[in-house]
Amino acid sequence: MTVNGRSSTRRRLWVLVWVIAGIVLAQRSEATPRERVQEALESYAQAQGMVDPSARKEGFRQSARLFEGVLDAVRPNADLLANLGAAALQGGDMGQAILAFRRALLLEPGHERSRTNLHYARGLLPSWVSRPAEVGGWDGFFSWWRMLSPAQQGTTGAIFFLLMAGSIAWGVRFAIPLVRNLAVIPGVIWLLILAQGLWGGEGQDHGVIIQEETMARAADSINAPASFIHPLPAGTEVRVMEQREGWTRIILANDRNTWIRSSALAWVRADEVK
Amino acid sequence: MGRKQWLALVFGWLWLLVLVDPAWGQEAKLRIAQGPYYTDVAVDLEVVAQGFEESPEPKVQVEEPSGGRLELVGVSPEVSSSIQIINGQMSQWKSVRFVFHYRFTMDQKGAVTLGPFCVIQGGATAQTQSVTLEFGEIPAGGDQRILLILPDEPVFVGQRIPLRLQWWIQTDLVERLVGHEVRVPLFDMGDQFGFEEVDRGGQNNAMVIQSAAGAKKYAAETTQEVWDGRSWVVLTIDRIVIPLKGGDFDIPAASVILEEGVRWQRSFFGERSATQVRRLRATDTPKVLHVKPLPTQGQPDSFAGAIGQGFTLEVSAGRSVVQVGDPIVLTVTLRGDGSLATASLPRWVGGEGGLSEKDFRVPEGNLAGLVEDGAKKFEVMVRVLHEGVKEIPPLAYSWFDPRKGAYETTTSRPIALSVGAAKMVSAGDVVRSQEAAVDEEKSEADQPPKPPTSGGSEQNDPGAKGLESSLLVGADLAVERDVDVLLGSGRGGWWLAVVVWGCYGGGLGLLAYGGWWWRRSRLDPEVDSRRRQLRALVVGVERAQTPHELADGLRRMAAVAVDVPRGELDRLLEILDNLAYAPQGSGGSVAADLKSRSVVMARRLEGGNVS
Repeated sequence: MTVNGRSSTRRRLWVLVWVIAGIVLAQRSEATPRERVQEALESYAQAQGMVDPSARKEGFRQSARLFEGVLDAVRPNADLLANLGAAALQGGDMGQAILAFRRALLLEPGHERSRTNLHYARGLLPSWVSRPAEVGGWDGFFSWWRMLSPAQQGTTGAIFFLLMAGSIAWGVRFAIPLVRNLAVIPGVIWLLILAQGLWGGEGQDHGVIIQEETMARAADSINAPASFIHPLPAGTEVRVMEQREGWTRIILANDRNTWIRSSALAWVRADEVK
Repeated sequence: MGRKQWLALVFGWLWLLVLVDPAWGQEAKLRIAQGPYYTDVAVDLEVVAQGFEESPEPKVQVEEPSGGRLELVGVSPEVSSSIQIINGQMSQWKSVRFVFHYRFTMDQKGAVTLGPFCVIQGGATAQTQSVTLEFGEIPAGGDQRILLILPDEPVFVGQRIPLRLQWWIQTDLVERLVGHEVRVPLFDMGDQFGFEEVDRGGQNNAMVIQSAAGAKKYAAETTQEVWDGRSWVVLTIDRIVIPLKGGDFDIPAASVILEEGVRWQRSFFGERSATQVRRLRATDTPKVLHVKPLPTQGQPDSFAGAIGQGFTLEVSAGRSVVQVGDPIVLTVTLRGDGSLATASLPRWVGGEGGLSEKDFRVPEGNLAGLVEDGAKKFEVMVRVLHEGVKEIPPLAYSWFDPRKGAYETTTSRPIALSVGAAKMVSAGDVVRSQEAAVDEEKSEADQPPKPPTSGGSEQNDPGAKGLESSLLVGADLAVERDVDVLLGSGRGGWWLAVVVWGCYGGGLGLLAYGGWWWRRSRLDPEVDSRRRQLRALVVGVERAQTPHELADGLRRMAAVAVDVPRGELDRLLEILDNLAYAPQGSGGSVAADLKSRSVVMARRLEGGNVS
């Protein structure tokens, strides 16, 4: 190899080294989800230890921001959302707190911590703000169904599908019409569960106002008269009726409907963000 | 001493007297309006003083006459000066004159002596002569009457009492009416009563009423009435009288003196004027007004002195979403049938029906309101002291209803509030100039670092933190600390997905199996039997080792199969037979390709029978 050839090779090697080093550093500068979770937990603990109320509040807000950042990197789960809600609650962000608790309960309806904190967060809202009626854990015939998470409900549907298929196969194989016909029962249940998961379900078209002092108006226009004397505070839970350019029509818990800016609303089911 | 010396001495003394005694240049005169003089009709007097200095203003001393009232109405100083220049010599004169205006009113018929009036300025004095006047009574006129209508029942201090003054004049007399003078002593009792005017909108006339302060014109309504079989013109004045003190007050009778034209003449322009008038008098009866003080028993804290009926209180807040310490302007609107002009707000802090001192800070002192459109509006600025405040509570307002003789109370509606924590401003948030920043750094260079300061005294109060924490009592604020759980990998939720996939996969498999079996069961038994035989024969062909076995298997299959490719099968069988029955023998083995062709043919025979 000539001298020139050796030098060009050496040059290529150095370029390769720098590229690899850059990639490695870039990977290292990006904190892993685990590190971000730990950072959020440390921030929460630090805020809890503060004496000064304003610093304490700011600390919880910072902790909430960190938990929210983790949600972007991992699959949301009820515990993570409940942590976010607790941090937001103590940071004074009612909208964020109630939204987080609602989402946590959507994933895991039996999540007791979220249920408790949602109840108290609702209690901190002004008394004139309408709140959805709180459904207890076991106050209805199908209340056990509401205690299951969507994943658990889907699993239940899959089991009924299996039962239906097994009944059909067994009935056909051994020529037992009764067994074959009984497959209708698990089949219907499976279809109902499927339909409920696709078109029904908890949190459908539900939202939470996250902007402080959201002015509710009689129409989708900034010049429309206000619907209520007081602006709606952050944390008000609503259902969505209609959406237009930049405006959303909502129904409050007392069945009164009004219009608000779409930017003031966050959907409980994040997959329904439009 | 000689005669000339004595004359000189006398003139010298006289000259000195003139110089020393300044009173020699002053004089005072009394001027009186021409009579006749009547009781209750004021007589104007003037005391004219000349020769005094321009300042100070001279004083007048006079003995108070009995049986009447002598009042100083005013003083008019007049200063005049003139300058005369004759043949280059300038002469200047200055004249100072003071006119003291008096008014004398006699209460009873008879003679009275006024004066002498003594004008004094320092050491200078001047005195008028005294004068004796004879006062007669104005005869009562039967064609008029005056009524002052007041309530007979007792009233309360501060109560707005309607009063009515009516002057009845017979219609015929109105045409001869030249002038009138009404006196209502009640209107002069300003220490005991306050007055408000009433505008009923129907006033189309005026009535002049004499008072201690002079004549004042009041708007009056003119109506036609019939009384005692005769037609009357009635002038009516309505006012509101408000007792300022408790007690029994003797109200002297109101009176009116009417001037009736007796003889008339017409001027060059045809105007009619009276050449001779006579005075006629009408007097009302004296009255007694009983004023009771407000009862102290049962007086609510929210009573601020309002007396009347039907008071209502409306309270509105300028803003309802605030932070701790933010000002909230409350607009308080008071309406009612009472004296709104003097109405004030009760002290709402610390009392019943008010704002708790723990929750609100309210400025001290009385608030001035503004009366407009039949209501009085006050603006009160309050500050919320902590986040636990949820509303402006109902505010109470009490008044005394004289008709019921009891206190009444109304309350406003509560106003919901949303109170957030105060935003703290620390030193770092303050924008300072560079010089100030440098100076401050130098002065603090040797001092130990200070802990963070807070924006309000409440924030330093440990109770404030406790109160803030108390708002979350019952909340579960412990967080999940297991990182694996928070990352979603600790709970083992993956198995649900496995179960779901397994159930759906297994279910689909079972359905497929069931479908296959059902389809199989639908086949012709003979076809099915044939298919089984062919399947078994295919297995036999696959296991065959010798040409003989292969040929035998294929022939059996051809005997069972329906669709047989005869040509190809025969050729293959021929090859296999040749091998099987070759004189040398094949050694019992079959070439691989020949075996493969045989298996293909067998499967073809089987497949041709799949329907």
